[in-house]
Amino acid sequence: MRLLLLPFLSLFLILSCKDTPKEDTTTDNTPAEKEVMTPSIPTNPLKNVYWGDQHLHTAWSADAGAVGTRLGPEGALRFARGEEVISATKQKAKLNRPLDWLAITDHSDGAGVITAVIDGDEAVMGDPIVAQYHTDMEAGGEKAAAVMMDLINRQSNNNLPPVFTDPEFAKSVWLKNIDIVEKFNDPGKFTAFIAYEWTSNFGGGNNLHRNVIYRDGGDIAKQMSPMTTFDSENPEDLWKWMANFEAKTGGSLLAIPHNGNLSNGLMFKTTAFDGSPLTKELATLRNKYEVLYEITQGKGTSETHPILSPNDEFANFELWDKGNLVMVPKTKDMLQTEYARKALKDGLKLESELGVNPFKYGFAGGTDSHTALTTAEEDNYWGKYASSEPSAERWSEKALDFPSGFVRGWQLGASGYTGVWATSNTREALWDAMKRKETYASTGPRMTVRFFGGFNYTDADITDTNSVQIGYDKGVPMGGDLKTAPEGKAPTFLIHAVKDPTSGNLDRIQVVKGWLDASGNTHEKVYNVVWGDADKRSLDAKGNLPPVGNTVDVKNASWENTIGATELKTFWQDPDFDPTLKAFYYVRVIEIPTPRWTTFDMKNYNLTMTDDVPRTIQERAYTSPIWYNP
Amino acid sequence: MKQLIKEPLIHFFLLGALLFVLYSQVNKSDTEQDIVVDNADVEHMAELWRMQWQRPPTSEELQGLIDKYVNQEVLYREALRMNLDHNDEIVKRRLAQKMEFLGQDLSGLVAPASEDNLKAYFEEHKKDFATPYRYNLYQILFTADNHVNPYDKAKAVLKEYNSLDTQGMREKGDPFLLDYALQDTDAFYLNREFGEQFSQQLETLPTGEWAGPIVSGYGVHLVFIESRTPPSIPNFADVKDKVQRDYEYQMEQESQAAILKALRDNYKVRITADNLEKATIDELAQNQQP
Repeated sequence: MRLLLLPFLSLFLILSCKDTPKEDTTTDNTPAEKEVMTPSIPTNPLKNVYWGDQHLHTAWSADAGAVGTRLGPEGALRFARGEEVISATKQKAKLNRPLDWLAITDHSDGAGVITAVIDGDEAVMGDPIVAQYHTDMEAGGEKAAAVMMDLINRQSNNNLPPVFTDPEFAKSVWLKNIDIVEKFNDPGKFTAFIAYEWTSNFGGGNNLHRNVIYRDGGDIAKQMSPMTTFDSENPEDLWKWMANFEAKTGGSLLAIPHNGNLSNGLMFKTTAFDGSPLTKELATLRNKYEVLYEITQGKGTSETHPILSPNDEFANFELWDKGNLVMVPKTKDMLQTEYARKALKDGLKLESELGVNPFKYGFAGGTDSHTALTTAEEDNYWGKYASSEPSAERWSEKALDFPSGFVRGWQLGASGYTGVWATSNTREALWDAMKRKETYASTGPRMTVRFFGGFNYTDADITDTNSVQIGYDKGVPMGGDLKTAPEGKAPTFLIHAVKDPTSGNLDRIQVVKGWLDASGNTHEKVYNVVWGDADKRSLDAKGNLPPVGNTVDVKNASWENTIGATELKTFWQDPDFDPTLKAFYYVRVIEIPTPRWTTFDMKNYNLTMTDDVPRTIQERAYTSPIWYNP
Repeated sequence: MKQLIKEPLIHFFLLGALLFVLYSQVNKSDTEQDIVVDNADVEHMAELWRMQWQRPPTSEELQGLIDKYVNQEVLYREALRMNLDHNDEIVKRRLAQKMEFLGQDLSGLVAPASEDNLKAYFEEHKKDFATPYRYNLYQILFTADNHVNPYDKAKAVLKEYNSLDTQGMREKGDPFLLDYALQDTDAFYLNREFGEQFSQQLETLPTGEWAGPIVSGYGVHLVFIESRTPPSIPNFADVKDKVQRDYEYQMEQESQAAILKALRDNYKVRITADNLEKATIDELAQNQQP
């Protein structure tokens, strides 16, 4: 046992000398021979919905506050694929249903780990001393121990072989991370994206974080180190970095900003980062790289706010609106530029001024869990930090705690998955779907949601057995664009949602419309377009619908699917259409009330909670918009 | 301003600044005051830049990098002199993580993924590599959206039409987005699409006839199982990649644990806290055994 220690300690010593980073050598990585053996991957031209999380941290996010998280990227990927793992708090954790894909977004940094000697890396074997080391280490036992003793001596006398400070020698966490992700990417079965989080907290806790998702594999991703916030905290620099990456490597990237609700008004500021007027060039960069926005996650939902949408009865949902990431208090005016719906509206306005829409966002969900466990289900919620893994105390403990304020554990949301409509489960197909915004965000349940827009749909199309084919043939799916309306025609939509078989029935489907009027002001309206229990419920004069009811038994953390609907579908035409005005439409699907994760905790740990903790939740999905561009 | 003077946080900062100044006056002599930026340092910075931007820094950018480096070095050294690294959770975590990574790299040495090792691992963990149940089946669905009692409806349909082959039944169920014919499918896919409850019930249904009703999260189904293939153990060669992945992961965890144990053996850990439950104290004591 002692022998094992020696190499360990000496490696540590070697590490403490300065390792320079890897030189960018053009490696001619021959693709693995597996490529030839791969059976054909099933594809569906009408697309399937693939569920995943584009935002997850593991133990490798050293600065993520993941106190005690033990699982690294490999554990995270195994868990997402449906395997049972042991959590930080030594509990067995398993998803009820595996995910189809995952993007691990650890912060990258350059912890150098020396493997070249062990691997017998050609670049270092030229040094006779090192070559001897390698041979002796291969032999193991006494010989390996002797190598280590020698290294320790040389290290302390500043007499190490020169290759030990050679860039070829350093292997960063980033590269290790990529190797693991590559190992788990299984085209057709499970997609593991290469990704990282760029974590700008500009000005002290103003959340401007972005998840950067790679379309390509390790051969491309390894060519450049990720952008860090040590380089810049300005998102504009990130887009420039992305453009540069694409130009240099031939790869493709997209970025997904998150938690505008904690940016204290900075996320969707309508100026450039430095406060100068927004330029067309910057708007174009943002439009190109930021195609999706993470509308819901563990630290709150950022669709809209009651102050911004006073007529929207569902606007008050899982809000974190007291401050920024370090609880610097928020003022009301900041709400104007940190929520998705308002950003979509401001985007129309900016587009009319600049010719480009900088806020042309489709929607994604993500857990942002820091436990390596991607969970968004109320009855199987593993918290955001190791400290908020299941326990009797987690609801009342502080999830964020700063001198200027705190957030209680119960306010964390079991939220954030993304449904992606893609032809197959591969990196390329999923990434391309994200790029064209054919995605929707869910607060957890995996309901199936289709949304098509065009000018020629009819009422009969929605009940046709080929309605999906018709949807693609006569219009565009979620995330798409409609051009100028033909004379006298208002846009028509096909909307179809089916419940998650393991979750609550559907209460209703709504269409959220935003538009820019002729004098440059923006407006919004929420339409109830189809709902469950239609035999008992109808719209009033204002277009409002009575609540669906509530079957939740709080004591037993259970509910009955005796209200609402298994599926809802409808043809809908905009009744208030003006063909000269820019507009967008997105769909919001709302479930009947089900027990919130805190209610499951109450039952599991036999707790009494304070009245401010909601007992129920109406889970929901948000589709990417369809834009009308006259 | 008056407001500010009352603010405890401001007091704290002022006090800190004062201590800082005092401390640096007192301690001037006991550390190196030299910060040398040599060729190697500059090359290192330029190299890092190149890795990120795929081009060398301009002289202006390099100037900025050096500036930043010097600032960081100054602050870092001052922080070390004030022992700010001590008991800093982030610093501790970072250093501990570096040690862990080292351990991971060593596991490949201790237990290489040789053919023999992999085969032995496969023999021991065959169950992990078993294929799921496979099916060819047809299903129709009755939902509560369309029927007051979908279960009774399904039973009635089965009773009336159960002699029908797989073709005649299609129109008897509700129109729904689920496929009528599920050819060459497996339990993994069915779990994902219908929920676990549904696919578990399929394992015991009779084959070659319309059967049910069985329940899923959507409603009530009638099912015609054409063929059902129970789980089987694949050939080692077909799953070698998976075996290797699992083997390496397990070895990594084992060597991590071994290294940690070896390191811990060098320390005498005494838990003197007595405000813990007895079970916890016993378990902790157990963990301290060398």
